[in-house]
Amino acid sequence: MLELKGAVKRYSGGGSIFKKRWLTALDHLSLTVRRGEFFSLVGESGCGKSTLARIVAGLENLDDGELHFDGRRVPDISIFKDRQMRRRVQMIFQDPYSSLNPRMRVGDILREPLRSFGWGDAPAIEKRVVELAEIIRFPLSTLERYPHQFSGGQRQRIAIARAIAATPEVLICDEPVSALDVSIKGQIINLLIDIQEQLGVTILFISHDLSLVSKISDRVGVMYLGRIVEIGDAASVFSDPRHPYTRVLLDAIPTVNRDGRRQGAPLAGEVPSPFAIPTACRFRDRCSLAFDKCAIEEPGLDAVASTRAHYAACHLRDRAQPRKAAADPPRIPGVEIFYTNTSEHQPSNLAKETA
Amino acid sequence: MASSAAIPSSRVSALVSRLGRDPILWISVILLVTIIGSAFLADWLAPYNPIQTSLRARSKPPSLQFLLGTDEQGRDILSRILFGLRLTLMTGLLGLLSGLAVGIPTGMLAAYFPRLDMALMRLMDVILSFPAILFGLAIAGAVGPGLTGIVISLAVATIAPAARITRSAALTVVNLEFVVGARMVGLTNAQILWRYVLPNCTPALIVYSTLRFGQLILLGASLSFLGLGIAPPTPELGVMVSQGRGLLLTAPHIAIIPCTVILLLVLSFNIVGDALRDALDPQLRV
Repeated sequence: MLELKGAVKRYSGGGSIFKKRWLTALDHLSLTVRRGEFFSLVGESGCGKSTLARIVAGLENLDDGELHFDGRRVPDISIFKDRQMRRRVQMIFQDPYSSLNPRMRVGDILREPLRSFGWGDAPAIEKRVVELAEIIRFPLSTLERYPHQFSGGQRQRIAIARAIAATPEVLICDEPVSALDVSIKGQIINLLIDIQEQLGVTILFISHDLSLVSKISDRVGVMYLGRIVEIGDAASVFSDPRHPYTRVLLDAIPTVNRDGRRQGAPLAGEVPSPFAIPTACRFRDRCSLAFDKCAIEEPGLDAVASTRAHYAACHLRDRAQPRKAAADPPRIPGVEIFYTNTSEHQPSNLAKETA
Repeated sequence: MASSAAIPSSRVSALVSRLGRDPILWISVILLVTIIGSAFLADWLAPYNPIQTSLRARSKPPSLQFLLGTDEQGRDILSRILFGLRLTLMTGLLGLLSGLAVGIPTGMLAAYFPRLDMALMRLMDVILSFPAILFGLAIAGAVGPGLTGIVISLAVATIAPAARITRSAALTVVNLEFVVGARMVGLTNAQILWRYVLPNCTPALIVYSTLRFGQLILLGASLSFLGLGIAPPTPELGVMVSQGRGLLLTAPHIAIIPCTVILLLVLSFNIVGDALRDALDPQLRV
């Protein structure tokens, strides 16, 4: 559905006019997201996740490499000026407080994409708005209100309704729950999962919350300094990580263990500057397993032996990474919420308010 | 009005509660309403014909017959003030609106298209570097003295600051995610600017316009005072001050009364503008 081949994106970051410094946000990154899957992309802040989202959403051009959408090459983002093309990819943003126009009523926010994408005549649009309100469990009376009258979670539901209004094929979620409370997170995630089941939309979910991602994804990609370092089925990546970076990220998830101690060492050092990415293996400075070869030869993103859909960019990919917690998946307080309140969703306070 | 309805009600109530606490603001609001209202009703309120001269009633001080006295040609000052105010307010408003009509789009374009930013804002700096009075002189020289020249001068004096205010307000808006969201929805740049960026700049623009209006009245009166604007005998506040100037020692009321009206009008606009700024756009407070 979505494919990036050798994608490069650089930003100029100061320097003099004679010698600009370039920040490499995406560094020959290749990635395939299949139709209908829930693909998650994880990584630390500044690794290029949001840049990737903006590229795939057709908001920014690549400096090099190719973007393919539904088997067709996207030469540059001007093809998204065609609204039928634009309709197919939609996006949900991180901050629900700045992603909705404060001067528009909720109903108008939902009508906007329908009008723009030529959903139909006025009655058809109104019918769809009612449907959308049902999907996000908003009483119809609330459509006359302005965004500032809603909470963060409610606003994020409005943003989701706007994104799915004209039935997109790909939904890019750029950290959609990072700004929300844990309990609200569950509602939003459940809503996304429901929507995916009903619409069969492809979801590219960007997050730094590994515990969350491990529960909801079909496949997952781990990003480090502008490149995918490990990619595969979520179950495989999380239970048997083959890149030392993935392993460290998993170990860093706060867990509640019987003896109360952390497993594995925390990650040493800082993320290297994206102005000067290390040569050969980009993770070697911080890797506890680094050896001579890592400084000489860059490991490709190759399949891990004995698996079918698991790739890691590490010379030691075929050596199982020691991870004590592997047998016992991380238990995070709060994550259970995603399962406990699936049934009741959230008709709660909004309905009461208007009653 | 859609935009004012969207101003969070807390701001409106803050304005109202401030009104209750602040007697000077109260007085300013009442003054503004009175002045503007009486200017509009000049045809009915004026006791005399504002250009009717009377040789027997020249330079009379205020009395029961002539509430604000008469000028050197025996014309009733109260009537002239009422009609003069109307003209002053109309030229100020026309100048303000035409200045905003150019300045607001310029500022929005500069904020929304970074490539245009440098060129447009340096152009505004050039306009800003001419004193407004000097610009008025030049325009009066080009189109001749009269209403048109004044309106053009006032408009030009408004363009550059309006563009700057709009740009700074729009810059914070264009970086918000809902503008990216509008692009995702497939809206054109014009639609985004008109429906997403402009409405979110209105508080700053309302405040700016109110403050600017007072200044434009002063500027318009100054140009007329210098003889670049409305020609006598048409009543206009600046012209009246100019005519009374020579008689300051013998009949001071002829110049002082229009001066006082200008002072009250401009002061009221400033006080109300400040209150609006505090209520609508606290970030602008210096």
